[in-house]
Amino acid sequence: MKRFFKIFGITLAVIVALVIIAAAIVCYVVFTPEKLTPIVRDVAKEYILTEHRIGEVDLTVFSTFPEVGLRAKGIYIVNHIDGTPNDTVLSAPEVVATIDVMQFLNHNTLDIREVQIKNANACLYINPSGENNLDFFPKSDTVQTDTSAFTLPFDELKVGGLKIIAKNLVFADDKDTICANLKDITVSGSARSLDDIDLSIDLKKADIGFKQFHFDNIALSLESKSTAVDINNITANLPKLKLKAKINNIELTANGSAEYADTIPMNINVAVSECAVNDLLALVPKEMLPLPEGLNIEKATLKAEATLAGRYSATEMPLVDAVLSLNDGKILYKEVYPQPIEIKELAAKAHIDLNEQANSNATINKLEAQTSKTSLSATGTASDLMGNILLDLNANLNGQLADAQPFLTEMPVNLKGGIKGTAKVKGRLDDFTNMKFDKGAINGQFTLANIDIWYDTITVKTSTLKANISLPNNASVKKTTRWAKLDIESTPLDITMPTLQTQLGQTSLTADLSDILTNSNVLYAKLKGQIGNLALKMDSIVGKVQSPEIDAYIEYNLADSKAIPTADISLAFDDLQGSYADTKAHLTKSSLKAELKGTRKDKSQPQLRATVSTNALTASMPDMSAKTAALKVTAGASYNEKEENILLQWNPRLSVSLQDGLLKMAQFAEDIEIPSIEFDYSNRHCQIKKSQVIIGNSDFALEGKINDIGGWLRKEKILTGELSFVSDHTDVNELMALVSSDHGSEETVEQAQQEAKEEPSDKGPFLVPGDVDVSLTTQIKEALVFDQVARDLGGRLYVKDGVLILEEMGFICNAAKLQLTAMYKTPRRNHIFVGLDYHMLDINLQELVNMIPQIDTMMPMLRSFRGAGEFHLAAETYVNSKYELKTSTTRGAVSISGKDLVLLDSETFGQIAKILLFKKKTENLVDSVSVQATLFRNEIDIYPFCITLDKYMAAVGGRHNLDMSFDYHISLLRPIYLGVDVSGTFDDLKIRPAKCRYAQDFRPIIRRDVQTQNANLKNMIDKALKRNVKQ
Amino acid sequence: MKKAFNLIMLIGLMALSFTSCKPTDEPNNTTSVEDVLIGKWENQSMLTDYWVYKSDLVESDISENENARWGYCWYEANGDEEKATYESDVLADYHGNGWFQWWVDNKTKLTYVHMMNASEASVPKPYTIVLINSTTLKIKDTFGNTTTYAKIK
Repeated sequence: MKRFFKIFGITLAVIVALVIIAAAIVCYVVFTPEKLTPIVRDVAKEYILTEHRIGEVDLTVFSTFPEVGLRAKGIYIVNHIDGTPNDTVLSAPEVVATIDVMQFLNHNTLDIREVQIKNANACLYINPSGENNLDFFPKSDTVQTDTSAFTLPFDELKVGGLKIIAKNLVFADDKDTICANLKDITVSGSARSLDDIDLSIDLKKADIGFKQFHFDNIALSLESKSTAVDINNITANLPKLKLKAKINNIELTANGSAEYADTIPMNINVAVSECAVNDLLALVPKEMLPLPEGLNIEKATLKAEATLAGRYSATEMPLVDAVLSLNDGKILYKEVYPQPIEIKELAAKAHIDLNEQANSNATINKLEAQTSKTSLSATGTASDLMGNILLDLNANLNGQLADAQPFLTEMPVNLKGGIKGTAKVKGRLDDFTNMKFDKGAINGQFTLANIDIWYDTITVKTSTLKANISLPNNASVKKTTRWAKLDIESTPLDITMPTLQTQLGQTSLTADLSDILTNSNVLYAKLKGQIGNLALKMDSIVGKVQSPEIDAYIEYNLADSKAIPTADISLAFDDLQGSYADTKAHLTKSSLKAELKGTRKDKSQPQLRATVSTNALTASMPDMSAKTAALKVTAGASYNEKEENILLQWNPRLSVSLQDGLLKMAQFAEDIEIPSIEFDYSNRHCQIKKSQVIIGNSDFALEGKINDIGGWLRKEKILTGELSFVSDHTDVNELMALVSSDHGSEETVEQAQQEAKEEPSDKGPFLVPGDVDVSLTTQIKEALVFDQVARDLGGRLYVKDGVLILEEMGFICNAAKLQLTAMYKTPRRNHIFVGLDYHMLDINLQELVNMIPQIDTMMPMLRSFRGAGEFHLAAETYVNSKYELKTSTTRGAVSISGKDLVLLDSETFGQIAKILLFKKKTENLVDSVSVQATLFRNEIDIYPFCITLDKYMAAVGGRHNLDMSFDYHISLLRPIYLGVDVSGTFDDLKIRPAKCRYAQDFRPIIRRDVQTQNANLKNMIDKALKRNVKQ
Repeated sequence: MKKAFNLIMLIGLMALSFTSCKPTDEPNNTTSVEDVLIGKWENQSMLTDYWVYKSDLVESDISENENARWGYCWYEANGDEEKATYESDVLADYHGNGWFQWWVDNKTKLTYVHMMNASEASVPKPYTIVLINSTTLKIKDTFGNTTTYAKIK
């Protein structure tokens, strides 16, 4: 055995030695470089049709053992196309090709098992017109053997493999704008044919730039089975591609098929292992990032799988369908929200179509985000990812309103309270980032708790509020409130504005709103709903409303805090209590329709139009209170703060209809009961359409029109009017006391006040307003005037320029027909004029004395008469504030006439008849009497009048002074002439016989001058007095 | 005869004494009673009672007497406000209360017709001029009461 091994070993050593020797002989003796180099170069010339250089070629056995190899020491191929980054296509210090010697020897075929190029530098270039720098290879159909110069030493050439170990490989494709710098690349190819190559690339580091992408520091390994390569056109078809790559720190795998040609069709599944999103995004050109401007992802972990399908070319990009899973994210998007947003989890699918960007979309299967105190979960879709992203999300929200405040940094708003709810959001991201939420569609249902919201000058507070919000509000009737619709159910709610404080009870409200998020100067709101209770406070206006139902349209000017909000309000309520300064009102079961706005000239001054219907109203002002049953008021008012009088301040325009009213006014001692009234009021005029009024003892129906009330209140115009006054019973004394002025018509208010202070009495005189021109047509069944009762009183009453005139007032008093024209004027408190033109027809003379006791003073003898007569009186005087006569101004004329008068009582008559020896048949009758008298200052002149009784005829005349002294003369004219002077006073009576002074007065034919003058004056008096009697 | 002469003288003296009822300072031919009256007079028995006689004739539709002239009077009551009337008050009641028509018949018969505001009626007051000169006016009413006025302007 030992010997066997010895023999075998020796034999093997001999064989090896022979082989070595043979190889050495072949290498160094037969195939010397001098012989091989020209052959190789000649062959190369056949296949490399551009300038190139191949160094010395030798045969190597040992370095390629067991194969035999040809080794060229250095090779370069010069670039023949302009624009390449390098001047050589390939340069390498050594190229080794292993050859199947047996194929060459047996079949004369040069079968190159593998070409190995080590430490190569290569540059592959395609110019914009598609020409490449590898087109120096002969086209297969164009290879022609140059037999004249050189004959290939083999019949066929085969290349089975290629291995390139390159330090640098540059691939520049200006046509498709691809540029790749590859370092330490090992390309291995095993080719069964050019259409069937198994390719393997191991790349340590590469920079690859595509048209829109650029990747640095790429390491990858690629396997491609059955690859077809067209070297001339630099095209390749990679039907079975496997790629493992590491770009930065991102590991990805890809499987699929691709082709490198004029276009690059591909169908590759790519999986990205868990990586930082920012690392991934760094690979994508900024201009291609499907992220909004300003969105900064501070951190996030992403895992993704994607399919790239389609073609990559200058005009095409493959479609990308990706499944993404993002965790532990933190983003900052200050344009939308200045605080960081944590993305706890995002699971999404995306379809990226860079060819038709509008087709790019994403489906968010799950999103959970969190701000400081608010969490948000959402699902939905986002389409048009490459453009203006269209979101369609379903979101759940649970958090604090304060977290929403950063959304509203440019708005004067402060939010407190919790919020929980769901929302459907659809719209463009650009619109949302620009606060144009109404461009999309948002529907949300939220429950808010412990709300404390301050917006500009408005604060809102409540404990719980359920709100449904819809943006936009296409159902809104008003164009201005189509931004949002808000349905609110709230617990008691406090709303405070600079000029308005509001407290609402349990509230159910629908609000149509204008855009409250943009910088619009005016907010619009349409409100409709029901409120448990409502309390309002606006300056000195305070109101409380029970169970109001409201329908309102409001414009609120944010730019002008003094501007009055414009409001169109319909309000129905069970109970309202309101006050304005010292004015208070209480309404029950009422409805209100009101329009409030600033005046056209001054937006800070309110202008009001309102219609109020109420079942009952009570109201009070400092000097007045009112109470009504059913009341309907249509009102308009515009406020003018420059005015002092409340009517001038508010300039009301009222149309009032009320039942069972009761009015109490400080300046009126009596209450004013108003069973019914309908009137229109403005400061221009007041039209009383119909009324029933009871004041004290008086009842009346007043109708008519009063004009120029505003001018009168401003003391610029006089109050004019014409009224009719129909009454069953009127107490003139009371009414005169009610309407008395506080100063005379020809004195100033200051003078009047001074005089009033000096007056000791409680009551001043009745002063006629000096700035009034009002006429009153009266029709009174029964009137109390002083202490007399007048019936069927009709006539006109004027008040004009401080003068009160009763014009031809006819009435019946104590069965007498009376006609009175009276004048009362009050130029000064201490200078009051009273004038009468008084006619009584068919008056009982005794009643006359009772009615006018002053008659007794003037003509005491009238007391002696009984019976009917006529009485005509014109008298006037000035009186002082105590109604005391100023006798220097007293003027009067009276005419009394009667027929068939009873003289004295029967007992007295009997005594006189006995003394004067009357006939037994003489009756206690006076045929007639006609008395005329005048009053001047304190002198009452009784013109001589004649009395005939029985056989006696007497004339009486004389003077009676107001101090009750007198000087009478009695002339007995029948049966004898006899005169008696009666003078002095009743306490000191002087009776003296005298000449019969009136002997001729009643004998006209022989009258003397004096008597004639008396008769003329009597006629003049009588005629003038009766001239005014209305027939 | 002497007795008869004495009787005639007595009658003559009596007659002369009766003439004392005529103005003692009778205006001359160029100055009428009206001219003397025109002006302002003050009642001497009731001071501050002023009477102004104006020369203005009363319109014919108001008075049938073509010689009637306007005048007015007022009583200032020595400053007692509760009784006083002032000239301005009367002027404010133009041709009304405080105003009067006046005329003189037969140089001695002075008639006033006092006007009223409230009625067309008026108050006539006849007087006899007892004395009139540039400073003094003395009148007597039908009851024999005399009143003296002093002209103050």
